[in-house]
Amino acid sequence: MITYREALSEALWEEMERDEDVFLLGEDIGLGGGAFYITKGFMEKFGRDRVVDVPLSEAGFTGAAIGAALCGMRPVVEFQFADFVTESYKMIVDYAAGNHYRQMGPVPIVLRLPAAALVSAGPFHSQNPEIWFFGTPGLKIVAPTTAHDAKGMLKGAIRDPNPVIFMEYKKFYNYPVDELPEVLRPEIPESDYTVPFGQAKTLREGDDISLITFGTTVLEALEAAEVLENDGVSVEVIDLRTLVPLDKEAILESVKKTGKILFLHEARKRGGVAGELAAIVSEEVFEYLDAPVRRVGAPDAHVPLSPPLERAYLPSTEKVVDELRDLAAF
Amino acid sequence: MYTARIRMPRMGTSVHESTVVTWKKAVGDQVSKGEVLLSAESDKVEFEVEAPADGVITEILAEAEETVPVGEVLATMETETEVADETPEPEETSSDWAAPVAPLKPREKPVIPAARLEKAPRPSGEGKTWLSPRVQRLAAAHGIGLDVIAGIQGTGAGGRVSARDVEAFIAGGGAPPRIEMSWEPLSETQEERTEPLSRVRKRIAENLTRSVREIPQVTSWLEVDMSGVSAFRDANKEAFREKHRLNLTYTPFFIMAIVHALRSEENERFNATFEDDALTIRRYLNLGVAVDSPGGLVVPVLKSADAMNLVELSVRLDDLGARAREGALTPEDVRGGTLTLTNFGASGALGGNPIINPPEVAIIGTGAIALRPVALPNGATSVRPVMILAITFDHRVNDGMAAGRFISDVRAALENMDLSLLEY
Repeated sequence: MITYREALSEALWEEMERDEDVFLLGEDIGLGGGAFYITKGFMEKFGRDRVVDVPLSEAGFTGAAIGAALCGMRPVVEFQFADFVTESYKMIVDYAAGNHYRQMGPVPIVLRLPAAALVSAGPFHSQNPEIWFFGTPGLKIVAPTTAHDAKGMLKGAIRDPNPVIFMEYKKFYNYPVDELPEVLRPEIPESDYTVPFGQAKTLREGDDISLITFGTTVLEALEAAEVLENDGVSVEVIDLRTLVPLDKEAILESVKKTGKILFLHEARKRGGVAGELAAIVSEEVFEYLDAPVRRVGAPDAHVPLSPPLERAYLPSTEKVVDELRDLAAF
Repeated sequence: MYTARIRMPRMGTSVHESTVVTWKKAVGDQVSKGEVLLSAESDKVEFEVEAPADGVITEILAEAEETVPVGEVLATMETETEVADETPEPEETSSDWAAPVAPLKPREKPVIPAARLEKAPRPSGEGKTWLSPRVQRLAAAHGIGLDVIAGIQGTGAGGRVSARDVEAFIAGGGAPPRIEMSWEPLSETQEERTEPLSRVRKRIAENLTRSVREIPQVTSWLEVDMSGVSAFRDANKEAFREKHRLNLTYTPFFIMAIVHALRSEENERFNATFEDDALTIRRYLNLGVAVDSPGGLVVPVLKSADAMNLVELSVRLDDLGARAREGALTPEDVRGGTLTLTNFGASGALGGNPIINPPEVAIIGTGAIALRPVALPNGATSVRPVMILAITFDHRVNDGMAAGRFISDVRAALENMDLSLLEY
């Protein structure tokens, strides 16, 4: 089995071999092989025209990529850290997301955003960017959590005619495959494959509480569900995998079954995706609820640099267990 | 005197080596603590290395322009105080990993003990019955009034009735569905149908008509507290089923109680037949057991019921009942009864007045066992499973006093049976 990071490399490599229009832009991705070595050796293989080292100007190179996409190319932009994407905000929400609507043609661009906290990487290297884009029409937002999904979704994103916010999780890059829960290491097909967007995955079936998550917190979700099983409470864990398009039915069907629902994400609770999802649940399946819709997310603060503070800040298995127990007892 | 080693420090993460730029001191120089010994640079920053203590430089191992790994010894000093030799921590990275942040070590799984779930306080509406949307939806879907729901014992926060409580209530046979009234005629054409009596029904009709025409029948009732038998049955039915592949029903208990009452000679005149102006008393019990079969009521006879234990009774009753319902009884199975037992309670009826099966002279009936408030001798009340026990007797051969005594003895046996002696 390969790691998540290797899966991303394979996806890029295979797509570049498959389609000459696919090219990469990013800081230090050519000579340096990328901050996380995902494109190591790419420049030697595909040349400087297709593996483009860019100056430190996110707005500039995102704009260049959008222009190339409008001309029919398939650019894949690597941000060193997802946090830096705010420099390109206008480029993405107005031009990448809006061009097609304004009848200037599709923008098949992939924005690779290494997201979320790792260990004490501080406020500029730890953020979850989805909420900056979640309210913008015209963007797809995907969040693979396994090597299988990372590869299949990156390939799918590159072939997609729309701009795709591709969140990839630093936490998973080098995560030893053997240490992952079995459900997070599905077999990777030998042959070419893509993972369709808009299909959530049930990581664990359960009857009493639905635990809906995406991104890094799949780990905490699975651990917490196991703890609750020992309490005699059966928790269903669902990984959304993509936020736009959203597998709304998976959420609604699960809560119809259980009557209790907890949303979990690493990003801050205030203004987080969970708020929108909670609203959907109460709008569409209110009559199935047996308890208030609950959320676990980070508190209303920047991601701390201090390791103990960071640990306190991030959603932990303990916090998820507390919420689940509260819901179970409701 | 001590020897101190001056090492190349680590200047920032992902810095593996640095280059000596110039030495400010030479071998043999006397230096004091904090004095700059040399300047150096990494690929990120220029920096200086200071003397860790007062002393004399004894050796220089890395010349200017030389690039050395982090932690390598640059010089040694002879010092008056001891200086701890601190090698910079190696970075926890593999050689091909120079990312701005360290790779993740596998997380340690937190150890969280299982917990008894404590009930949170009632969510809202202090003192009111709060029903969640799901509970109300379930109630509506099953036609259960919210007043009925509110009466369920809740297990949720603050005693709230949870959806699980409602589901359990419904699964337990909980609330009857609401019955919709209709004002449609039963048939559009005021239809009528004539149905000739089947062979079985004809025989039932003849028998019962003869019974009612010929026998002056009197029925007496009394109430039986079934707490003991009920509790025994609830506690043992699973194990009994597992062992014998049979349901543990109440009927064997009724039979054991009847047999007990008949052991008394005072009651023997009820286990008898009356033909041609003569009463034949039987000192054995061939008990007719009324069974509802698809064709109508049939009464197979449990021969020698007086000598059977709980298991034998259960096995024989199951066999007779099954064959009665399948219409597979032989003439021998329905002949020779000396007394009959009918469980009108199976239909839900609390009370009934059974009709004697001639030439027998009595029939015992049992009603539905239902929870009732019962006044206890000390004046307290208690909720108990209570059953009506009926006897219809032939007044030509027995009187009311004797019938009352017989049925009271059956009741006493049911209420006070030493259940600890029952084996299965």
